[in-house]
Amino acid sequence: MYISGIGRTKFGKLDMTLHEMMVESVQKALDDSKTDLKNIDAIFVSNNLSGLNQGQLHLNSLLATILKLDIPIIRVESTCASGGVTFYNSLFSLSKFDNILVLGVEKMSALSSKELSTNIGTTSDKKLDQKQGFIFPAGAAMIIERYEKKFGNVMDELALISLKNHNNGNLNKNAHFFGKEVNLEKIKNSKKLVGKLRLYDCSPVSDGSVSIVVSKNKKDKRSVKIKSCEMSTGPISLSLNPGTSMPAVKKAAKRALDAADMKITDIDVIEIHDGYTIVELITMEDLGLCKPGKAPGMIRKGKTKLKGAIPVNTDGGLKANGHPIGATGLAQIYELVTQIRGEAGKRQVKAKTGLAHNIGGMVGSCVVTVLEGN
Amino acid sequence: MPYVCPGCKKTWMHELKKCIRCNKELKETKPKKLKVMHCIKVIIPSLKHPDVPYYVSQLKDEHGNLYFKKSEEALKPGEILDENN
Repeated sequence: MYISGIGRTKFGKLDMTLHEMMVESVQKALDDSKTDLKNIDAIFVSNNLSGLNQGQLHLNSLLATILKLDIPIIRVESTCASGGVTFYNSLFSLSKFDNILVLGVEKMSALSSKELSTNIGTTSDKKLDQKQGFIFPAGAAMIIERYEKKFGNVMDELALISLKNHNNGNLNKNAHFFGKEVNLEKIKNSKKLVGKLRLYDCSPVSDGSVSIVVSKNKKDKRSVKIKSCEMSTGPISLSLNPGTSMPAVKKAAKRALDAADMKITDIDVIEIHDGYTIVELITMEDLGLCKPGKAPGMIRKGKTKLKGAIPVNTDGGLKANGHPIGATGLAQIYELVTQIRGEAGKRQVKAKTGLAHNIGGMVGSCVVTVLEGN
Repeated sequence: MPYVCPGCKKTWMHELKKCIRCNKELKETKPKKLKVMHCIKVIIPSLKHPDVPYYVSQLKDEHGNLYFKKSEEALKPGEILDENN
């Protein structure tokens, strides 16, 4: 299985409808793949909140209407892991089809923060979390507390993660925060939202769409091989996970690396789902980049920067590239493909292999994908 | 409150009538003591929780079951809440 084409919109507060964003990313991915729409056998659509945010469900049929198609189109939802889970699902269809298109889209910016916070909250457990006022930033703040209790202060390192991702995002013209000047002082002095969690430890509210063309056979030398894509699930409520590690992440990563017959040290570039900076930090440990408690040291030494031993979130990650929920997992794959092809411009790193980590909840769904170039 | 299977002793935090593994009827249990593990101040309002700040604490009962609890006042980590009082 190969990725033959990628396309995306810019991420951010966009003056575009769901329809417009989808059409733009689809067109760009088809152009990149040099594939005509008539040669696409099926489409998989990733979206989380359109039912609540726009009052628009049945996106698969909406897409059929817009693209004037009658092929199978399937919509998948798995909160922030919607992109990864859709990608995972789509690959099974290649036993039947030659070329498929995987599309992610989300429109988030048009709502008030109260409405959006409520809508995003519906992806947590209604009884255990929502009724008790639990929100995801509170979960991130709890993980920071636990981590600091176990391994010592970490807020300076979280600020370095935020700065790294903003620096990378400033090399990515499609990123939500492209062109925004951010420094350590600004990050450290940003408003505390919940517990120790600062505004600049959080990913933004973004609109955007990404499309990926996946083909059964290799199309040309720009095609990138899907070595593996594996998934794990876990409890929907963070109340059921008291640790500083996410079991579903460890399981999905092991499955994906085993299926690719690779070790984490064989990976050249990584996209981590940094919805919050603390998640990037603990995921470095869950992926096996270092032992528990050692990620802050790696951060201080700059090992995950563009010129570091293992660059993480070269596109800016969710923190600076943006987090249009349904498109996020596919944006990670978009970046890995761009890096592996050697088309990342000023943020280019030396990469033949890449790994994407996409999670939903904390952590109820996790998909890990491994890609390899020629 | 947790629901325990008298057969396999597995615990569910959701109200289910029967154990999916042993098909035995689940028994609801009430924790006697809850230990405060964390307490986080929330200042982000939502439609269901418009009044901020409020606090969300993670509690652990004597069987190791975990819960979130909303309160208007901060709870002290390490504090034991006696559910009989």
